[in-house]
Amino acid sequence: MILYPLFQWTVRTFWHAIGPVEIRGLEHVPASGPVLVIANHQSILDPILIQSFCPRPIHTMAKSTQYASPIMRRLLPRLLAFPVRRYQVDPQAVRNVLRHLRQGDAVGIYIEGERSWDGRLQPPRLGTLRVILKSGAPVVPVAIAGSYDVWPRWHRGIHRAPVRITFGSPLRFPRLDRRRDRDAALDDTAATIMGALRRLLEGSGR
Amino acid sequence: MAIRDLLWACPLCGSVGGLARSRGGDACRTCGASFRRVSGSAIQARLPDGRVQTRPSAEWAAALPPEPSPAGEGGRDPAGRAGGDRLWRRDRVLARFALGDEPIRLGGEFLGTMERLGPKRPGELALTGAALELRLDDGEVHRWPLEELSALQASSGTVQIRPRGRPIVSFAFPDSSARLWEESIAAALRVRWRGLGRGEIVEFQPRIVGRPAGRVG
Repeated sequence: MILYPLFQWTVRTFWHAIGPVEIRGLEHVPASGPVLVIANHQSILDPILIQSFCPRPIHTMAKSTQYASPIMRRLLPRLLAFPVRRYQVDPQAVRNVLRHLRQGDAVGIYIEGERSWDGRLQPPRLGTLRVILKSGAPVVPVAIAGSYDVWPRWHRGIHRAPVRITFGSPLRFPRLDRRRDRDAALDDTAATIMGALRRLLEGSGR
Repeated sequence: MAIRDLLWACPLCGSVGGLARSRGGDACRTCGASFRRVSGSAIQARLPDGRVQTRPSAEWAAALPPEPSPAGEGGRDPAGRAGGDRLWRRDRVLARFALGDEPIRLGGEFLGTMERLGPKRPGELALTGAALELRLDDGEVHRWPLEELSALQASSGTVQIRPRGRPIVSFAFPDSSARLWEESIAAALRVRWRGLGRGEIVEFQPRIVGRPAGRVG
């Protein structure tokens, strides 16, 4: 856990060289207790920024292929990232989410499952919606805007641009233990979360 | 990663897969317009007559067709609805096959696993209405019928597939667009699934999931 605050401090201190960051709605992040931080995904920089500027440590789901290099395999877990397999249902990733929530941690998931190609909001992943409904934990929607201008998926270079991160009011969904009940609630849950993210992004002027 | 990964067709002349690497960006092989990133995520197009247009990248992307069509077609391939061997796309690739899984741990704690990808192997990938076929330069050939794919996604600058019950295969496209290939395979899969009566695909990752035809909501 020593590395995490050091990482936060470093990003907060030196990010200004890349551009201004505006943080809104931090009062919506519960000081303690389980919470799911559900964000949109515009850039590879999003987890770095959200984890650095959120006052609580966030255990963040990251694609397993990011652990390919020995350095990242050592670094990412120490920055509270845990892996999720692609191309198959990953019960271990779900167990990690539920375990962290049981321990009263904050868990971060990018609901679109991948970075947006064009910066626009993509449809949510069904598996993420199911985990939300399985956990019953409060959901804080987080809209990040502008990171796409800094480093879009289709280009390697970083450009200076302002970024705004907006934390929204917590959303509450019932905990549903039966898969059939979760499946029945998928569409409404998706509409509520994506609607909240859309409104937060519109409030960012993007 | 390149502008052609975002703009899988030329937003000015509509040429699918038309953009290729050029100095400082990408250029359309058909109309000659060149594209480069300027401020933020904006893209500037320089037309052959010297005129310049700068727009947000999302605006350029919105000018693309809704989805790619088979090679040489202006629209969807009616014959492809039941599959067929109509060619959608063919390009040079660097293919990597997953060789196995490795555990990821923090101290003694097991966090999960990751796939270990093998070396890059050059070859040619072809997409038809019925299958993906990979012909490696060393002579090895793989053919995956579309209905046997269980997952599809672009990951960074690659497209990755998972044939049912087998490890993933990753493709990089040195001369083409990863997004064009992702969208093309997705479009061919949709047509194939409809043709087989499996309904509409609602998700391609972590597994391809269909919603039976006629179901509402």
